[in-house]
Amino acid sequence: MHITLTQIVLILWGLLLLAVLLQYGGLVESLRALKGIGVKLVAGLVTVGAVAAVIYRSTGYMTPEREGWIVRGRTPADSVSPGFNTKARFRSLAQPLGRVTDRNGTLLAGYRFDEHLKRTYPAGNLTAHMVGYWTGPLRDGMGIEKALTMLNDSLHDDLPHDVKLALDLRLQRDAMRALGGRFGAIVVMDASTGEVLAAANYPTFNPDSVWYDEAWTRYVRDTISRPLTSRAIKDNFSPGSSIKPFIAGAALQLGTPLPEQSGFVCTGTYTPVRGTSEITEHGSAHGRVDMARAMRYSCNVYFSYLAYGLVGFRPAKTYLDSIGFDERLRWNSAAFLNEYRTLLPARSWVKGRDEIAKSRLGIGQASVKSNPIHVAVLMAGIANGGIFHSPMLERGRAPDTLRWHMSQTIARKLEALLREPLLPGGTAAKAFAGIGSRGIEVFGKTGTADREPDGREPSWFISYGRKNGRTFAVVVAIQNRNGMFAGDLNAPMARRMYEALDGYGYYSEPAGAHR
Amino acid sequence: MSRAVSYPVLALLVIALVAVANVAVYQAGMEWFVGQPSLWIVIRNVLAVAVIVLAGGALIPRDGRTRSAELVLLLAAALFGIGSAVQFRLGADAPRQLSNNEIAAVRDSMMSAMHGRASEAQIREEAASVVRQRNGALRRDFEQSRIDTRLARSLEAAYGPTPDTRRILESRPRSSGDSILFRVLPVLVLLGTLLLFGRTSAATLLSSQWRLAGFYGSIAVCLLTLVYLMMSGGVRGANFAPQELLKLTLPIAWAGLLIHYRAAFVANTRERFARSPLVLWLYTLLLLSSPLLSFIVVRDFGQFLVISIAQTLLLGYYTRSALYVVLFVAATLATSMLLLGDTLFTGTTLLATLGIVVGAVVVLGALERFQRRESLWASASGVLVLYVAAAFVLVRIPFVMRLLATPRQRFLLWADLYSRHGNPTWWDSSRQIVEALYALDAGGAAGRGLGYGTPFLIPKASSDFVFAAMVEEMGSAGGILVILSFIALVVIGLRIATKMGRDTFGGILVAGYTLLVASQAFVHIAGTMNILPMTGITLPLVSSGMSSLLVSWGIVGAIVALSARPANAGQRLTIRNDDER
Repeated sequence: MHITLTQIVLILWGLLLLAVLLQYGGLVESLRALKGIGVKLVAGLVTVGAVAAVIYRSTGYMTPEREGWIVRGRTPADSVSPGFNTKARFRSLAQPLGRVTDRNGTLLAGYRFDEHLKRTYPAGNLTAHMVGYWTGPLRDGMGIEKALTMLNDSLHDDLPHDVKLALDLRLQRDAMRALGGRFGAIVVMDASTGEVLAAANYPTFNPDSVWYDEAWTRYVRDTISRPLTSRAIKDNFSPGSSIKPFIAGAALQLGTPLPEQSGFVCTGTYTPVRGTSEITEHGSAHGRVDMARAMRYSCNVYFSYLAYGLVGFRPAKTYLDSIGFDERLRWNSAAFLNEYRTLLPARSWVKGRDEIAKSRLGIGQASVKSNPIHVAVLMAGIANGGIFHSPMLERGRAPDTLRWHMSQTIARKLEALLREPLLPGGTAAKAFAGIGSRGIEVFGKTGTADREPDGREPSWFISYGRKNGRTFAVVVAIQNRNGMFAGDLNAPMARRMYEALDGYGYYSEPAGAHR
Repeated sequence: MSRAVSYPVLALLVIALVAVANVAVYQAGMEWFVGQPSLWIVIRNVLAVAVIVLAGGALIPRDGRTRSAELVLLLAAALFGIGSAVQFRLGADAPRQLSNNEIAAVRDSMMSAMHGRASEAQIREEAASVVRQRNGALRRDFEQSRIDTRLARSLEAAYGPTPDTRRILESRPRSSGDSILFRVLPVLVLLGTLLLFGRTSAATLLSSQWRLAGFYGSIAVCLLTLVYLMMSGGVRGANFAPQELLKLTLPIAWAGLLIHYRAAFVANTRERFARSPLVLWLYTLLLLSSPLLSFIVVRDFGQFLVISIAQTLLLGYYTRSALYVVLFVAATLATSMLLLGDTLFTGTTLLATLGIVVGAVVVLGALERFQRRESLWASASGVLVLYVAAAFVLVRIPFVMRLLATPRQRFLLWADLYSRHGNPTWWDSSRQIVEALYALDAGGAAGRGLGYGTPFLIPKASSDFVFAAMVEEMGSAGGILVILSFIALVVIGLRIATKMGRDTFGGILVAGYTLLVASQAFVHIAGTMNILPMTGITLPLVSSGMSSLLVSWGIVGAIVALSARPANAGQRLTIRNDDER
């Protein structure tokens, strides 16, 4: 046990008072000698009252309720600020936060001297959503920075705790360039470990400027671009056709008789429920297709019929839930981050589904939404032969296997299906023409969703690429495709990411290097 | 019972206690403080306490030396020493605020700049706001550099020195601490008092003719103080607070009054009271008027509260009855109700006041029935009812309302700390009490450790809120030790007084001094905790503030010196009232 000097002072002081009490002519004698009911009464009451008051005030004075009562506005509005409790405010400001670096040691968050020590984010808006921001007591923090401020409280120390992210700032920058100013997100993940190499978001914000009220209100009030929301992690979009590999997975897993076994012919339209609008192929009919062909051409009729007519909505949902669609995906990180839920993604299912929405499950509309980082985990899992790793935030942790189930056989079959869209005639064939010359084998699926009631018109490219036995998943989600198709919009972005990965040598290093 | 521990051992214990406390502050200061503390302050603080304990102990006269006197000296020295460590801590790690001279300079420059264009009151107000702004800027700068120091220290510990952290830590100024006079002058006052009273002339001073001279002299000093205060423009302008001097002189006047008019207060004989309740009323009024007078002139609500509580307790002690205490508490509560009246408890004010009066009358009745003095009950209840009726009318007179504006605000703050009453400046006024409450709360059971808390966030931490600063760093354990030390001091002081004789001039004098210390500590501590209205009173022996420290040590010196008179002197010098014989 560590005894501080202050505790020694308290002990010595107590000893002195004890000595005084025990001395001849001391307190006991004096108390006995005191005559008169008034003096004794008052002295006793004052003693008891004072001790009780000190204990009360110094152990349970400022309860959260009372604090809330103050902040709720029984006080003049202008005087109530988040720094109301000056002690907590000071502690929060003087608390040292650790350094946040990327996997190569580039500083993402640290202190800089500019008249005073200031918390700064050298990577600026590139990593804003991952690293988050910290503004002392001024605003609620975000991301890793917020988790760091709470870490000291939970550990009862005042030491800076460093975090080395699995993120690669170069890849993050490339992803941001690939997005090219479109609203959306790109996630790059190491399939063998679950390390998140890049999670780029656009629109983004400048974490150095959230201190300033002007910038802050601009960010908060911008409900159209919502720069403070991380699209890669916290947000989700209609998956469109990119749900199809998982619908195929459901059918294969459940052993559902496939449409081609009963002579399915794509006529270009499908009316799942009487009296509802039909699901169309935008003017073309694919004719007699099997699952591989349907995947290559992204046949809406085939997959709608499969999902709604053959598998059924409820079994399909159960299957999707078993691969995490109803979960808040937890990070593979030191416990503090999950504990404070600062980066946990949203759940996927849309509330209030009606029969029409259910019938559109097979084309990824209206009933389900998916989250880029979740889809990246799924793609990495398929590449891994059905073993899913939770996304790894920090460098140097052991991979953490999720409890989702997919048999290796089905993973192999899905991999074969995912090859289709890149084959000639496939939806992403044009974008990936010639990628083979780099030796990278890419598997993926495009997704071009219709306009949703929330006004979004997302498009997806979910994929993974393999070379030298190393596999990386790349997921590109664009919020508003503006009439373009995923094969022309998202797939080229994904291709740039694969080329960047190859350029940085990720495909040549053995798995788990730098661990 | 034997003397288990000898004086030198206890003296060494006190010195060790003070030394450890100061070293703790020094150690924490080297690490965290904005101003680098110097070892010289530690040495000087410990030396001051050592001189008090050793030289003071040696100066207590051998022949009349009692254990009680020694213990009073030791307890006072321990409080003073802990106080010096806290002052060291607050002085080395606090925002510099404008000194009185700088404030005067600001006011003068405003005067010359705005002369003829604005009234003097406007200029004063303007100057005050300038001073507030500059103090606020100094405070913000300090807080920022305190944060920088702490961050730089933590970062260096984790990552090793960098140019930035070195620059911050090496540019720390050396702190000069509080003035050395705060440690030297109190010691001189104590030793001087001991020499003056203890060695040569205590017996002479307490003899009949000198006693009367002292009595009238003290009344003269009281009046002169009041005149001086009226001339110098009240409390705020003065560097030295002369109203503190009242604490030295008033007990002499009380002792004289009580000795002279003993019969009026100690109603052993019910006949006397039955004959002349008017006498009691008159003398009560006379006694009550002395603090009231000081309040009216000085406008110092805190001193008024301290003096009236001490006086009430003295009357309780002297008459062996809770009568005056109950009267005082009831009157104070009733007054506070009337003062808070129209804003806080609209409609129920009168009811509450009536309730308090009736309750007090019931308590008085029970007390007096217990002691078989029904007539006293009747007169006391009459006094209370009359007082409340008079107060009810008086607080509605505009002149009195203006006079009571400050205490009224204090009472409102006390009753409803977080409320606003449509007053935008309300929060500024309650802010300092809220800070003190946060400090008490931050301390917890054992405190943050000396030097490791943030007491500089409390306004006036070194004087008016020193108890909050202590509790933040030493916890409720430290707070309770402070309170117990004061209680021990007071109980032993009263014992000395009782030993000297309840009816002797010297005995009443010692009791008066002791109870003044008690009531001042009570008002300070309770005010800090928002149990009483906050009045801006120093904690005796602990707070900084020259006048407060000197007067406290004068009082301690007087108690020790008077207690150490030859044992038989008390009887010889007792002069009973002629009526009694």
